[in-house]
Amino acid sequence: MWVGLGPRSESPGQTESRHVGDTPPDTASAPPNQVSLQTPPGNPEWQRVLRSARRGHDDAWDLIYRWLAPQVLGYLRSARLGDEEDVLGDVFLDVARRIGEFAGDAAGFRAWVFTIARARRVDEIRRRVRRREDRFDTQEHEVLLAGTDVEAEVLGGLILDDLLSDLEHLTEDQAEVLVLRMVSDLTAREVAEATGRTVGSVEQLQHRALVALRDLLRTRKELSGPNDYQA
Amino acid sequence: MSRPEHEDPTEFEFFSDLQTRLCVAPNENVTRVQVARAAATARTASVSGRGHMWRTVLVALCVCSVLSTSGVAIAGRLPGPLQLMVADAARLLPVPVPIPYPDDPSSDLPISVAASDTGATDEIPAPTNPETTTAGTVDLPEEEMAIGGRDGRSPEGNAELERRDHRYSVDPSYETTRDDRDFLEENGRSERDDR
Repeated sequence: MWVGLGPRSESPGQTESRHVGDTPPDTASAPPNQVSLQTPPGNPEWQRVLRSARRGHDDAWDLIYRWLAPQVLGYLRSARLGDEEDVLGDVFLDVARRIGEFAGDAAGFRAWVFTIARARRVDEIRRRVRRREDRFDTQEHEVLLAGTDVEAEVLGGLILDDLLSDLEHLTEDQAEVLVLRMVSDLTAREVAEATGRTVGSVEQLQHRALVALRDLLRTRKELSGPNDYQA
Repeated sequence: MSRPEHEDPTEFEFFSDLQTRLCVAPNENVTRVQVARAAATARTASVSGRGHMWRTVLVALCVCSVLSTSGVAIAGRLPGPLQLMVADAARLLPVPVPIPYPDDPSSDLPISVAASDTGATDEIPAPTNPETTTAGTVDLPEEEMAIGGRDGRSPEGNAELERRDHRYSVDPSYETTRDDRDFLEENGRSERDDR
Protein backbone atom coordinates (compact mmCIF):
# COMPACT_ATOMS: atom_id res chain seq x y z
CA MET A 1 0.00 0.00 0.00
CA TRP A 2 1.35 3.37 -0.97
CA VAL A 3 1.51 6.01 1.72
CA GLY A 4 2.64 9.30 0.27
CA LEU A 5 4.65 12.16 1.63
CA GLY A 6 3.18 14.76 3.89
CA PRO A 7 3.42 18.40 2.89
CA ARG A 8 7.06 19.48 2.73
CA SER A 9 6.87 23.18 2.10
CA GLU A 10 9.89 25.02 3.44
CA SER A 11 8.09 28.36 3.44
CA PRO A 12 5.00 28.68 5.61
CA GLY A 13 1.87 29.41 3.65
CA GLN A 14 3.35 28.37 0.34
CA THR A 15 0.90 26.88 -2.08
CA GLU A 16 1.56 23.24 -2.69
CA SER A 17 1.76 22.12 -6.29
CA ARG A 18 2.44 18.64 -7.50
CA HIS A 19 5.24 17.08 -5.56
CA VAL A 20 6.62 13.64 -5.40
CA GLY A 21 4.30 11.42 -3.43
CA ASP A 22 1.02 13.04 -4.36
CA THR A 23 -0.01 10.30 -6.80
CA PRO A 24 0.54 6.63 -6.20
CA PRO A 25 2.64 4.90 -8.82
CA ASP A 26 1.70 1.88 -10.83
CA THR A 27 1.09 -0.71 -8.12
CA ALA A 28 1.79 -3.65 -10.38
CA SER A 29 5.47 -2.89 -10.39
CA ALA A 30 5.63 -1.12 -7.05
CA PRO A 31 8.14 -2.73 -4.72
CA PRO A 32 7.04 -4.17 -1.38
CA ASN A 33 7.83 -2.56 1.97
CA GLN A 34 7.03 0.91 0.69
CA VAL A 35 6.79 3.28 3.61
CA SER A 36 6.21 6.94 4.06
CA LEU A 37 9.11 9.30 4.50
CA GLN A 38 7.89 10.57 7.80
CA THR A 39 8.31 14.14 8.84
CA PRO A 40 10.60 14.47 11.83
CA PRO A 41 9.04 14.43 15.28
CA GLY A 42 8.38 17.72 16.99
CA ASN A 43 11.04 19.17 19.23
CA PRO A 44 9.77 18.20 22.72
CA GLU A 45 9.08 14.66 21.60
CA TRP A 46 12.40 14.58 19.79
CA GLN A 47 14.38 15.55 22.90
CA ARG A 48 12.72 12.72 24.80
CA VAL A 49 13.57 10.28 22.02
CA LEU A 50 17.16 11.54 21.89
CA ARG A 51 17.65 11.08 25.63
CA SER A 52 16.27 7.57 25.46
CA ALA A 53 18.41 6.73 22.46
CA ARG A 54 21.55 7.89 24.26
CA ARG A 55 20.73 5.45 27.05
CA GLY A 56 20.28 2.67 24.51
CA HIS A 57 16.53 2.13 24.78
CA ASP A 58 15.25 -0.17 22.05
CA ASP A 59 12.01 1.71 21.43
CA ALA A 60 13.84 4.98 20.79
CA TRP A 61 16.16 3.30 18.30
CA ASP A 62 13.22 1.57 16.65
CA LEU A 63 11.60 4.97 16.12
CA ILE A 64 14.78 6.52 14.77
CA TYR A 65 15.50 3.59 12.49
CA ARG A 66 12.04 3.39 10.99
CA TRP A 67 12.03 7.15 10.47
CA LEU A 68 15.42 7.43 8.74
CA ALA A 69 16.34 4.02 7.34
CA PRO A 70 14.28 4.26 4.13
CA GLN A 71 15.70 7.68 3.29
CA VAL A 72 19.26 6.65 4.03
CA LEU A 73 18.80 3.39 2.16
CA GLY A 74 17.45 5.27 -0.86
CA TYR A 75 20.50 7.51 -0.82
CA LEU A 76 22.85 4.53 -0.58
CA ARG A 77 21.03 2.59 -3.29
CA SER A 78 21.35 5.51 -5.69
CA ALA A 79 25.09 4.83 -5.66
CA ARG A 80 24.47 1.17 -6.67
CA LEU A 81 26.73 -0.18 -3.94
CA GLY A 82 25.25 -3.66 -4.14
CA ASP A 83 25.17 -4.35 -0.38
CA GLU A 84 23.32 -1.27 0.73
CA GLU A 85 21.65 -2.90 3.72
CA ASP A 86 25.02 -3.83 5.21
CA VAL A 87 26.22 -0.28 4.73
CA LEU A 88 22.97 0.96 6.26
CA GLY A 89 23.68 -1.17 9.32
CA ASP A 90 27.17 0.29 9.56
CA VAL A 91 25.76 3.80 9.33
CA PHE A 92 23.41 3.20 12.23
CA LEU A 93 26.17 1.61 14.30
CA ASP A 94 28.25 4.75 13.77
CA VAL A 95 25.27 6.86 14.74
CA ALA A 96 24.78 4.77 17.90
CA ARG A 97 28.43 5.06 18.90
CA ARG A 98 28.49 8.81 18.43
CA ILE A 99 25.00 9.82 19.49
CA GLY A 100 26.42 11.26 22.69
CA GLU A 101 28.20 13.88 20.57
CA PHE A 102 25.00 15.16 18.95
CA ALA A 103 22.85 17.96 20.30
CA GLY A 104 20.07 19.60 18.34
CA ASP A 105 16.65 19.20 16.82
CA ALA A 106 15.31 16.42 14.64
CA ALA A 107 16.18 18.16 11.38
CA GLY A 108 19.76 18.64 12.55
CA PHE A 109 19.90 14.98 13.56
CA ARG A 110 18.76 13.88 10.13
CA ALA A 111 21.43 16.05 8.49
CA TRP A 112 24.01 14.59 10.89
CA VAL A 113 22.97 11.02 10.04
CA PHE A 114 23.28 11.78 6.34
CA THR A 115 26.75 13.19 6.95
CA ILE A 116 27.73 9.82 8.39
CA ALA A 117 25.94 8.00 5.57
CA ARG A 118 27.76 10.08 2.99
CA ALA A 119 31.13 9.23 4.50
CA ARG A 120 30.24 5.53 4.50
CA ARG A 121 29.01 5.78 0.93
CA VAL A 122 32.28 7.33 -0.23
CA ASP A 123 34.31 4.70 1.65
CA GLU A 124 32.28 1.91 0.11
CA ILE A 125 32.64 3.32 -3.40
CA ARG A 126 36.40 3.60 -2.97
CA ARG A 127 36.59 0.10 -1.56
CA ARG A 128 34.71 -1.29 -4.53
CA VAL A 129 36.90 0.59 -6.99
CA ARG A 130 40.00 -0.79 -5.27
CA ARG A 131 38.63 -4.32 -5.38
CA ARG A 132 37.28 -3.82 -8.93
CA GLU A 133 34.11 -5.72 -8.12
CA ASP A 134 31.68 -6.46 -10.90
CA ARG A 135 28.45 -4.51 -10.72
CA PHE A 136 26.36 -7.58 -10.07
CA ASP A 137 22.98 -6.96 -8.64
CA THR A 138 23.10 -9.23 -5.60
CA GLN A 139 19.53 -8.36 -4.63
CA GLU A 140 18.23 -9.63 -7.92
CA HIS A 141 20.25 -12.80 -7.50
CA GLU A 142 18.91 -13.41 -3.99
CA VAL A 143 15.34 -12.91 -5.17
CA LEU A 144 15.83 -15.54 -7.83
CA LEU A 145 17.15 -17.98 -5.27
CA ALA A 146 14.37 -17.21 -2.77
CA GLY A 147 11.69 -18.05 -5.34
CA THR A 148 9.57 -14.95 -4.84
CA ASP A 149 7.78 -13.09 -7.61
CA VAL A 150 10.73 -13.15 -9.90
CA GLU A 151 9.17 -11.39 -12.82
CA ALA A 152 8.00 -8.40 -10.79
CA GLU A 153 11.29 -8.08 -8.99
CA VAL A 154 13.35 -8.27 -12.14
CA LEU A 155 11.08 -5.79 -13.89
CA GLY A 156 11.32 -3.42 -10.96
CA GLY A 157 15.06 -3.79 -10.96
CA LEU A 158 15.27 -2.95 -14.63
CA ILE A 159 13.10 0.12 -14.21
CA LEU A 160 15.23 1.29 -11.32
CA ASP A 161 18.30 0.67 -13.40
CA ASP A 162 16.90 2.90 -16.13
CA LEU A 163 16.09 5.64 -13.64
CA LEU A 164 19.55 5.55 -12.12
CA SER A 165 21.12 5.53 -15.57
CA ASP A 166 19.41 8.84 -16.28
CA LEU A 167 21.07 10.29 -13.19
CA GLU A 168 24.42 9.25 -14.58
CA HIS A 169 24.01 11.92 -17.24
CA LEU A 170 24.49 14.45 -14.46
CA THR A 171 27.70 15.22 -12.63
CA GLU A 172 28.31 13.31 -9.42
CA ASP A 173 27.62 16.38 -7.27
CA GLN A 174 24.43 17.23 -9.16
CA ALA A 175 23.12 13.67 -8.90
CA GLU A 176 23.90 13.52 -5.18
CA VAL A 177 22.13 16.79 -4.42
CA LEU A 178 19.13 15.77 -6.52
CA VAL A 179 18.82 12.43 -4.74
CA LEU A 180 19.11 14.01 -1.32
CA ARG A 181 16.55 16.70 -2.16
CA MET A 182 14.03 14.84 -4.28
CA VAL A 183 14.38 11.27 -3.07
CA SER A 184 15.51 11.44 0.56
CA ASP A 185 13.42 14.54 1.07
CA LEU A 186 15.99 16.70 2.82
CA THR A 187 15.73 20.47 2.85
CA ALA A 188 18.42 22.55 1.15
CA ARG A 189 19.87 23.45 4.55
CA GLU A 190 20.04 19.80 5.58
CA VAL A 191 21.70 18.86 2.30
CA ALA A 192 24.22 21.65 2.81
CA GLU A 193 25.03 20.37 6.30
CA ALA A 194 25.29 16.77 5.18
CA THR A 195 27.53 17.47 2.20
CA GLY A 196 29.62 20.28 3.65
CA ARG A 197 28.42 22.85 1.12
CA THR A 198 26.69 26.18 1.39
CA VAL A 199 22.95 26.47 0.82
CA GLY A 200 23.62 28.58 -2.26
CA SER A 201 25.85 25.92 -3.71
CA VAL A 202 23.20 23.27 -3.10
CA GLU A 203 20.52 25.37 -4.80
CA GLN A 204 22.76 26.01 -7.75
CA LEU A 205 23.60 22.32 -8.17
CA GLN A 206 19.94 21.42 -7.88
CA HIS A 207 18.93 23.96 -10.50
CA ARG A 208 21.56 22.77 -12.97
CA ALA A 209 20.69 19.15 -12.33
CA LEU A 210 17.01 19.76 -12.99
CA VAL A 211 17.72 21.69 -16.16
CA ALA A 212 19.90 18.89 -17.48
CA LEU A 213 17.42 16.22 -16.47
CA ARG A 214 14.49 18.05 -18.03
CA ASP A 215 16.38 18.36 -21.28
CA LEU A 216 17.13 14.66 -21.21
CA LEU A 217 13.55 13.63 -20.49
CA ARG A 218 12.13 16.02 -23.07
CA THR A 219 14.48 14.73 -25.73
CA ARG A 220 13.68 11.14 -24.92
CA LYS A 221 9.98 11.85 -24.97
CA GLU A 222 10.22 13.46 -28.36
CA LEU A 223 12.19 10.56 -29.72
CA SER A 224 10.38 7.64 -28.15
CA GLY A 225 6.81 8.85 -27.65
CA PRO A 226 5.26 6.81 -24.77
CA ASN A 227 6.57 7.21 -21.24
CA ASP A 228 9.37 4.71 -20.75
CA TYR A 229 8.71 4.45 -17.02
CA GLN A 230 5.36 2.84 -17.29
CA ALA A 231 5.53 -0.90 -17.42
CA MET B 1 14.61 27.47 -1.78
CA SER B 2 11.51 25.29 -1.79
CA ARG B 3 11.28 22.00 -3.54
CA PRO B 4 10.73 22.60 -7.24
CA GLU B 5 7.33 22.23 -8.76
CA HIS B 6 6.97 19.49 -11.31
CA GLU B 7 5.02 21.08 -14.13
CA ASP B 8 6.02 18.36 -16.52
CA PRO B 9 4.26 15.09 -15.70
CA THR B 10 7.23 13.19 -17.02
CA GLU B 11 9.51 14.86 -14.55
CA PHE B 12 7.03 14.32 -11.76
CA GLU B 13 6.69 10.65 -12.59
CA PHE B 14 10.45 10.30 -12.84
CA PHE B 15 11.06 11.47 -9.29
CA SER B 16 7.99 9.75 -7.92
CA ASP B 17 9.08 6.46 -9.38
CA LEU B 18 12.68 6.98 -8.31
CA GLN B 19 11.66 7.65 -4.74
CA THR B 20 9.27 4.72 -4.69
CA ARG B 21 11.89 2.29 -5.88
CA LEU B 22 14.86 3.61 -3.92
CA CYS B 23 13.37 4.40 -0.52
CA VAL B 24 12.28 0.93 0.49
CA ALA B 25 12.49 -0.04 4.13
CA PRO B 26 14.55 -3.12 4.99
CA ASN B 27 12.48 -6.19 5.76
CA GLU B 28 11.27 -6.66 9.30
CA ASN B 29 13.93 -9.18 10.32
CA VAL B 30 16.73 -6.91 9.17
CA THR B 31 15.07 -3.99 10.94
CA ARG B 32 14.83 -5.84 14.26
CA VAL B 33 18.45 -6.96 14.09
CA GLN B 34 19.79 -3.54 13.21
CA VAL B 35 17.68 -1.80 15.85
CA ALA B 36 18.92 -4.22 18.51
CA ARG B 37 22.54 -3.73 17.45
CA ALA B 38 22.22 0.05 17.45
CA ALA B 39 20.58 0.09 20.88
CA ALA B 40 23.24 -2.22 22.32
CA THR B 41 26.00 -0.10 20.83
CA ALA B 42 24.49 3.05 22.31
CA ARG B 43 24.28 1.37 25.73
CA THR B 44 27.92 0.33 25.56
CA ALA B 45 29.01 3.80 24.48
CA SER B 46 26.99 5.33 27.30
CA VAL B 47 28.46 3.02 29.96
CA SER B 48 32.05 3.44 28.79
CA GLY B 49 31.56 7.18 28.74
CA ARG B 50 30.22 7.14 32.30
CA GLY B 51 33.02 4.77 33.35
CA HIS B 52 35.60 7.17 31.99
CA MET B 53 33.96 9.99 33.89
CA TRP B 54 34.01 8.09 37.17
CA ARG B 55 37.62 7.08 36.69
CA THR B 56 38.52 10.73 36.16
CA VAL B 57 36.63 11.71 39.31
CA LEU B 58 38.39 8.97 41.28
CA VAL B 59 41.84 10.06 40.14
CA ALA B 60 41.00 13.68 40.97
CA LEU B 61 39.86 12.66 44.46
CA CYS B 62 43.07 10.73 45.00
CA VAL B 63 45.14 13.70 43.95
CA CYS B 64 43.15 16.02 46.19
CA SER B 65 43.58 13.68 49.12
CA VAL B 66 47.33 13.70 48.60
CA LEU B 67 47.36 17.47 48.42
CA SER B 68 45.41 17.86 51.63
CA THR B 69 47.15 18.61 54.91
CA SER B 70 46.87 15.08 56.12
CA GLY B 71 48.16 13.99 52.77
CA VAL B 72 51.34 15.97 53.35
CA ALA B 73 51.85 14.20 56.65
CA ILE B 74 51.25 10.87 55.01
CA ALA B 75 53.66 11.77 52.21
CA GLY B 76 56.33 12.44 54.83
CA ARG B 77 55.96 8.88 56.09
CA LEU B 78 56.32 7.27 52.69
CA PRO B 79 59.42 5.28 51.80
CA GLY B 80 62.21 7.38 50.37
CA PRO B 81 61.77 6.72 46.64
CA LEU B 82 57.99 7.08 46.82
CA GLN B 83 58.25 10.25 48.86
CA LEU B 84 60.70 11.56 46.29
CA MET B 85 58.20 10.92 43.49
CA VAL B 86 55.38 12.62 45.35
CA ALA B 87 57.57 15.60 46.23
CA ASP B 88 58.67 16.01 42.61
CA ALA B 89 55.07 15.84 41.44
CA ALA B 90 53.99 18.36 44.05
CA ARG B 91 56.60 20.84 42.83
CA LEU B 92 54.98 20.85 39.39
CA LEU B 93 51.61 21.96 40.74
CA PRO B 94 50.60 25.59 40.39
CA VAL B 95 49.62 25.65 44.05
CA PRO B 96 52.64 25.14 46.33
CA VAL B 97 52.36 22.04 48.43
CA PRO B 98 55.09 21.47 51.01
CA ILE B 99 55.83 17.84 50.35
CA PRO B 100 59.29 17.33 51.84
CA TYR B 101 62.03 15.44 50.11
CA PRO B 102 63.25 12.37 51.99
CA ASP B 103 66.78 13.67 52.51
CA ASP B 104 65.82 17.29 53.05
CA PRO B 105 66.87 18.30 56.55
CA SER B 106 64.88 21.52 56.33
CA SER B 107 61.56 19.71 56.35
CA ASP B 108 58.42 21.20 57.83
CA LEU B 109 57.93 18.01 59.74
CA PRO B 110 59.33 17.59 63.22
CA ILE B 111 62.98 16.55 63.11
CA SER B 112 62.27 13.32 64.95
CA VAL B 113 59.67 12.29 62.39
CA ALA B 114 61.82 13.30 59.44
CA ALA B 115 64.80 11.49 60.80
CA SER B 116 63.20 8.26 61.88
CA ASP B 117 60.35 7.77 59.38
CA THR B 118 61.91 8.95 56.15
CA GLY B 119 65.10 7.04 56.49
CA ALA B 120 67.27 10.11 56.81
CA THR B 121 70.39 9.92 58.92
CA ASP B 122 70.27 10.97 62.53
CA GLU B 123 72.96 13.52 62.04
CA ILE B 124 71.48 16.46 60.21
CA PRO B 125 74.07 19.04 59.28
CA ALA B 126 73.13 22.47 60.51
CA PRO B 127 73.16 25.25 57.98
CA THR B 128 76.37 27.27 58.16
CA ASN B 129 74.72 30.49 57.18
CA PRO B 130 72.88 31.94 60.17
CA GLU B 131 70.76 33.93 57.72
CA THR B 132 69.06 30.86 56.28
CA THR B 133 65.45 30.34 57.23
CA THR B 134 64.31 27.51 59.45
CA ALA B 135 62.78 25.80 56.45
CA GLY B 136 66.23 25.51 54.97
CA THR B 137 65.42 26.92 51.55
CA VAL B 138 67.58 29.90 50.86
CA ASP B 139 66.12 32.71 48.84
CA LEU B 140 68.28 34.13 46.15
CA PRO B 141 69.19 37.36 47.90
CA GLU B 142 70.16 35.40 51.04
CA GLU B 143 72.15 32.99 48.90
CA GLU B 144 74.04 35.84 47.43
CA MET B 145 74.65 37.21 50.86
CA ALA B 146 75.74 33.78 52.11
CA ILE B 147 78.52 33.58 49.58
CA GLY B 148 79.21 37.26 49.71
CA GLY B 149 77.55 37.80 46.36
CA ARG B 150 76.21 40.80 44.62
CA ASP B 151 74.84 42.59 47.64
CA GLY B 152 78.01 41.91 49.59
CA ARG B 153 80.09 43.09 46.63
CA SER B 154 82.62 40.35 47.17
CA PRO B 155 84.58 39.68 43.97
CA GLU B 156 84.81 35.99 44.74
CA GLY B 157 81.13 35.80 45.45
CA ASN B 158 80.24 37.68 42.27
CA ALA B 159 82.48 35.38 40.30
CA GLU B 160 80.81 32.34 41.81
CA LEU B 161 77.35 33.71 41.02
CA GLU B 162 78.34 34.55 37.50
CA ARG B 163 79.75 31.09 37.03
CA ARG B 164 76.52 29.55 38.23
CA ASP B 165 74.28 31.83 36.16
CA HIS B 166 76.37 31.26 33.09
CA ARG B 167 76.36 27.54 33.65
CA TYR B 168 72.61 27.22 33.88
CA SER B 169 71.76 29.71 31.13
CA VAL B 170 74.20 28.41 28.53
CA ASP B 171 74.28 24.73 29.17
CA PRO B 172 71.10 23.34 30.64
CA SER B 173 72.49 19.82 30.45
CA TYR B 174 75.41 20.79 32.62
CA GLU B 175 75.98 18.19 35.25
CA THR B 176 76.90 19.21 38.69
CA THR B 177 80.61 18.73 39.27
CA ARG B 178 82.28 17.51 42.41
CA ASP B 179 83.24 21.10 43.30
CA ASP B 180 79.66 22.20 42.86
CA ARG B 181 78.37 19.40 45.04
CA ASP B 182 80.88 20.22 47.74
CA PHE B 183 79.89 23.87 47.53
CA LEU B 184 76.22 23.04 47.83
CA GLU B 185 76.73 20.60 50.68
CA GLU B 186 78.72 23.15 52.60
CA ASN B 187 75.78 25.49 52.40
CA GLY B 188 73.35 22.83 53.54
CA ARG B 189 71.45 22.58 50.24
CA SER B 190 70.93 19.79 47.71
CA GLU B 191 71.24 19.82 43.97
CA ARG B 192 67.48 19.86 43.57
CA ASP B 193 67.14 23.00 45.62
CA ASP B 194 69.81 24.65 43.53
CA ARG B 195 67.94 23.96 40.34
